[in-house]
Amino acid sequence: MSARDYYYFNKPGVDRDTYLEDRLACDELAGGAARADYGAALANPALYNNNLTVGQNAVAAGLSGFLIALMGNRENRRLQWKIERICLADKGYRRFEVEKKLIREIEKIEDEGEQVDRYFELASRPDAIGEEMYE
Amino acid sequence: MKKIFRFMLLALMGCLSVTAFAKDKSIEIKPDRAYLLVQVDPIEYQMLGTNRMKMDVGFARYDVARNDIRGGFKSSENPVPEGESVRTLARKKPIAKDGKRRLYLLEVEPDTWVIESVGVSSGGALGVGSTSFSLGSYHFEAKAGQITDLGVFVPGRELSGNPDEKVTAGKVFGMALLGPFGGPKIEPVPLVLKIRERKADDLQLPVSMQEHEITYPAFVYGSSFGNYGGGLVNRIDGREGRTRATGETVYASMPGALKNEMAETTEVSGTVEGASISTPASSSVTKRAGDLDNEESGSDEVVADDEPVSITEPVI
Repeated sequence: MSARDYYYFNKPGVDRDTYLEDRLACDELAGGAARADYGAALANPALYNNNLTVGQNAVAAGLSGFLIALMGNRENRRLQWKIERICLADKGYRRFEVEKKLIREIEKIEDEGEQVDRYFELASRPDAIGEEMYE
Repeated sequence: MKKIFRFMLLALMGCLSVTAFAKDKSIEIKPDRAYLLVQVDPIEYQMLGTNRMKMDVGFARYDVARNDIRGGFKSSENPVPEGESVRTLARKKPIAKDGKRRLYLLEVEPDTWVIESVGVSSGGALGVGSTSFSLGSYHFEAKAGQITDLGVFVPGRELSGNPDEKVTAGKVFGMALLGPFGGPKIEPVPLVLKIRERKADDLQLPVSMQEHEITYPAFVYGSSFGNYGGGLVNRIDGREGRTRATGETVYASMPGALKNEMAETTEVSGTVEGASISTPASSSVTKRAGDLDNEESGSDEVVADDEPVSITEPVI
């Protein structure tokens, strides 16, 4: 088992709002019920602005969390990544392996909106790059 | 010598009486409570031969309008009343067992219930991940005063092609030598659950309870909800379910003979053998358990909705 794989999810033509909704829904499942998340935000109107789209709310809430599992130990991180993969595959996304430096480069971007843009660009491109991985 | 023989005879009679008691453990059916009857089969995995592991199945009360477990994140406005349970687990006190198969009769609140999860606490190291069917499960109605027969649940592992998921002799020896922390790991995989009707060689309801009304529920597909167990997630039917329509209903636990009978009474055409019957979500079929194998009795009462019934190929 490698410590970590470097990959992105691709669903050609997916629109930005759908992509963000899908990622957040899967992040919610990956986080389980153990932490405050998108679901908790939905249940708490004080945290969730109904005048914004789900995607805009997500940006407002801080999106970097959904790309890397938050739980501390390695096993839990692996479990969260696995849940994310199963969930996104269920929504029609395929997974492609890319060079470590590409993912590291995106992760280093401090502006969360820009970081999401980069992932969305990879997710929506019609010609996926990299080698397809198992779910 | 006679004393020894008498002692052996008494011991044998004692064993027989214990067995008879275990096979006829009847439960009082209260008119204001609902009862879920379910057989849970063990999961099979290959590790130096075929092994079987007993599994637990979790059920929860479901909020259909909000797509969540009652009182969950999306259903916080619709919790169950104080003092009532939102979940139940088929895990302890089976009414019958055979090897690692278990038959449970769970007393629950009348409500809409969903099959929430399957798993076992010690299965992770062996690649059996406890799984919440958050991506798509079945919900069904459990009505007061009735035994709702959910059939036989057969769990299985769903592999993804990841080589780390394979159970190999090398990994097993490594785990045995180095322990759960230092040895090689078997990647836990999500589970699926097939539902089938109870057959003659399955565990049966105790004879004393077979006069009770048995209801075969319409299982409504596509129920989604939060991952409150914190384990893996999947659809109850795994990848096969990704193309299925939400809201599709099947009588997965209904005996074949009754399916045929129901099809005859509702004037449907098409091949019935081995097929599942789809009806509106609110429907169910009721029959006494003792009558199931007697197709010629002529006294069987089949209760179904007036809505048209269609026949579809089995999908679970």
